Amino acid sequence: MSRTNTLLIVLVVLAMVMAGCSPAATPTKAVPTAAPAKTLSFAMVTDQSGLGDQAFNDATWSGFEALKKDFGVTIKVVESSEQAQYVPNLSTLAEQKEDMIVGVGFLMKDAMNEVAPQYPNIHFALVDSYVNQPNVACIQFKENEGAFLMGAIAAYMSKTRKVGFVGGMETEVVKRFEAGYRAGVMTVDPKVKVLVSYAGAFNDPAKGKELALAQYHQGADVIFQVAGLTGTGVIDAAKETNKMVIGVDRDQNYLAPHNVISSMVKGLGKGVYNVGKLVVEGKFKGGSYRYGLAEGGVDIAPSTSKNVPPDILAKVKKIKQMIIDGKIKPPATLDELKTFTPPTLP
Amino acid sequence: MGIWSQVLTITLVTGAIRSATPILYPALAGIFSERSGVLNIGLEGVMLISAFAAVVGSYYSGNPWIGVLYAMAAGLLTSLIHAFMCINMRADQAIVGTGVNILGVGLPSFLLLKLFGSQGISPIVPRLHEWRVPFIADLPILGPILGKQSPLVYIALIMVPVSWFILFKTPFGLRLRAAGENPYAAETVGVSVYLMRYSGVLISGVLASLGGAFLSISYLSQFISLMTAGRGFIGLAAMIFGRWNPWGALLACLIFGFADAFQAAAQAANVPIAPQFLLALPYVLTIVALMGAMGRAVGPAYVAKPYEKA
Repeated sequence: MSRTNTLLIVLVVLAMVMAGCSPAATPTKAVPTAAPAKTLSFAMVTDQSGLGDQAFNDATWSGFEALKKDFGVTIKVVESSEQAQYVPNLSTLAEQKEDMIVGVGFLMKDAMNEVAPQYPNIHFALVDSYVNQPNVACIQFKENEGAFLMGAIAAYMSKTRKVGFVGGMETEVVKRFEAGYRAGVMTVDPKVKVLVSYAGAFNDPAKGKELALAQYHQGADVIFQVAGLTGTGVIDAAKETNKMVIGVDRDQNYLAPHNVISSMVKGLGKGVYNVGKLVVEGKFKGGSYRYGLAEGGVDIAPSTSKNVPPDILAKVKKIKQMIIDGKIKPPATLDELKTFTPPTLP
Repeated sequence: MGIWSQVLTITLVTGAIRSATPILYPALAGIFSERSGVLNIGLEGVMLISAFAAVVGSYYSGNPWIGVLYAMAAGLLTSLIHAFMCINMRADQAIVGTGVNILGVGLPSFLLLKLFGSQGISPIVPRLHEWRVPFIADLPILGPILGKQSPLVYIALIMVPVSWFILFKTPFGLRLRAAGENPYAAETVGVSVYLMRYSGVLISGVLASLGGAFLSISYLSQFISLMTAGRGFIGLAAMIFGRWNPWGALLACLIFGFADAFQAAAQAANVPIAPQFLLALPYVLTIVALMGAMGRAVGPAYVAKPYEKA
């Protein structure tokens, strides 16, 4: 029996080592720069996806690289391979007296709430979530503004006058997308019907595909997906049925060049850059920093011009300007959507 | 009635069969393994590893059928470890299964990084396209349901009578079941229990691998971390509901698949039911079905019990 147990343990440990290895659990990667008298040092803690995820973490890191280029700050990254590492990773960096410590992703909210009060003199930033701490800058986005434009594009492009929305889970952020999107559709044409489905998961592409096929079957010809990895199934369904789909977070046109007509891109790097700049200038303050269309926090993907005709794109850009000028206020919640009255477009 | 006429259409059945397929494979896989006396809760892990292997095969060869072969090889290898631990080492079978599941999470994401340099998601690879079956596709009702599906859907459906025949109509099937019901009696009449149990687990690995390949290179065209999303476990529930019989398992999978297709259609039609309830429907039905079957569903007597040669 003991031989059995030993072998078993070896198997399980091997498996765990592999599970642990996957997000390259290197402690710190310091990128030194030519040091003047006092170089500021900025650090970032990733979530489990780590660098190389072509999404959240990579986008945030691009903001760090821009800070290094423009202000000569030292930048470093600590990758977390599991949620339990958030607190120790943040604390270690705080002990090292980094000048700014950025946590990426809404999963880091609790860890930030635990660590930030213990180091009141350290500047923290949290991407895509909010905590009420005086020394944490919360970088959030006005997804409803970008989603509003996606709704406008969908309504203009739809020939069946039915458009779809597939969400991952019913979180506050995804609902903010839904509210903005539906308001955008309504503004362009109140008669266009919006089909809404939720997958209940961000990593079940097969379910995403099934939901999308059902919507396409019921007559929708454009779907906006806000579903993380579940959304890759939605894009797959569009490709298979040769319908239109709109991507999220980054320009997803490369996934299906003829079907992904647009994407709502999020400027994570830009958000981090702006907060980092405040630290450099000595103007850092905790609280909520919301970036919308005006600040480049959300935007229409550049690839949109490939599939959306110029006259429609011109109309959408006019709507964008109206939002920036404050003439249109896209609803941020489903409750606000109920009282939203679509403005008349010029 | 307007809404419901949109929901209840023939494509609902098409979708039901599509959703049932990745559950049917692990259900049949579980039947072979457990009938031979080896508990197999590692099917989720086997499916993940083979879903990844399928993508690797299709990526490097450009031919999705090579991907299917890779998946089968990966399923075979993974279940070989399972079989060795459970049969030769007489390890606790639930723990070995858990180990395989952990391996199924870790190994693909580790290799994803090594081979493609990416996290959680593989490049898009050539996938198996639907087959149009000449005669059936022209039939009125059966046509839209079974006329144009993935070859792996047809293989899954064919495997139901084939598995039933092997298990209940051949001497091999009788011996395999004997190893699970009473291995000591089986050994006294000259049946090699080890051989039968190895066969059961390895057949199970190959069947589960096809379920993984269906998800990654037939239904979709890339590997995504944890893409099986519990389908291996739902398959085991279907096996129990079907009382370790392929036909019963097929029925259970179709109920689940139907509920899944129904919730997708109902959500899209804006049926006034909260999405949470609709999403839970397939799982609630599975639990209800399991409770209904509980009193009567009795597995093979020697499942999960290691056999020691006298």
